[in-house]
Amino acid sequence: MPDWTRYVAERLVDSKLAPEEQHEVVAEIAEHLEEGYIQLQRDGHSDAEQQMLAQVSDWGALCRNIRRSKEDPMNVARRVVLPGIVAAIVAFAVLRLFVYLLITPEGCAPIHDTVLLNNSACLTVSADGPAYLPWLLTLPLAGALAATLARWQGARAAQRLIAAVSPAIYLSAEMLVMSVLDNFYWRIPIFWVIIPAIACAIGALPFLGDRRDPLETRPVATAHS
Amino acid sequence: MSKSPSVSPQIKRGSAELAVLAVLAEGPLHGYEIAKRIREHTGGVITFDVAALYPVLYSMETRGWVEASWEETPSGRRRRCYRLTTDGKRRLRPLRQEWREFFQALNRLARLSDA
Repeated sequence: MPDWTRYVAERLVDSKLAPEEQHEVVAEIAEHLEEGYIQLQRDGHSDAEQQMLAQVSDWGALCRNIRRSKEDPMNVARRVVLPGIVAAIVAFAVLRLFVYLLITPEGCAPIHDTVLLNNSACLTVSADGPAYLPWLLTLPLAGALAATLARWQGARAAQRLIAAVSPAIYLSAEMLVMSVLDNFYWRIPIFWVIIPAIACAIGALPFLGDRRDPLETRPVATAHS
Repeated sequence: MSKSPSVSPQIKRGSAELAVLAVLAEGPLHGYEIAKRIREHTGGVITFDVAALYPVLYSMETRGWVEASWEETPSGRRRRCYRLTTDGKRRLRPLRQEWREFFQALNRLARLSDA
């Protein structure tokens, strides 16, 4: 008797589905092939295995079709957007806290590598200022939080990473607006987008791996009646 | 699995939703049984292999037309059973009507061209 679970798992290993989903798909398709194989054998077909193998001629196409059929806009919202928003809220709240604790409002000056955080035009936050580095050091936590939430929702590794760097994505939008309204300064995207994105991604790293081995089999999936 | 005359993949793809929803209207079924029922009900003219069936089932599940749950048989096998949801039943009615009208139109056309 072929090990259908292993056979299917090896061919769907690049399905890019979330681990839980992939595990379910592997178990279900393996069960289907196994049941068909047993039935064909009962009916006296000597080529039962070949007939079942012929059920899927292109596993790559099946992977793509399954992935496409499971894509739901609400899933993207749940797996990427919501964890990203949570991470961004945490990151910006922490930045505000550090600004409140560490920066004293001063007289207005046109500093261009600056993010304005409230209505006070005189409160400036520069990458050279005292709040930037402490904030940067907390960003891995925001990234880790987003990646954890995304993984909990069944997100793939790439989706978890996007969710984790969301604070930097939101900052990049703000920087873009500032560049349009004002002049472009190279320091702004480096200090307020790229470096924060790296910090968030570092925090997400431990949570990008899969919890479950796709080849892991459920005992019932290989048991035969 | 049988060698009965089969329809082209294009026609099969178009009729997949109707075929799956129609057999699930009879009661909850797992994937293998869905494929088997479709083959039996159509005299082997319409067949769904693994590659054709599961993307259709997953797509219907995503759209909320069917729901699936793992169930264990008395022999200890675990199967993912699909059942129609209210949305699925709602979808089946106009779909049946649509296909009925389509075949009536094709019949009329065929009679005209035979004459």
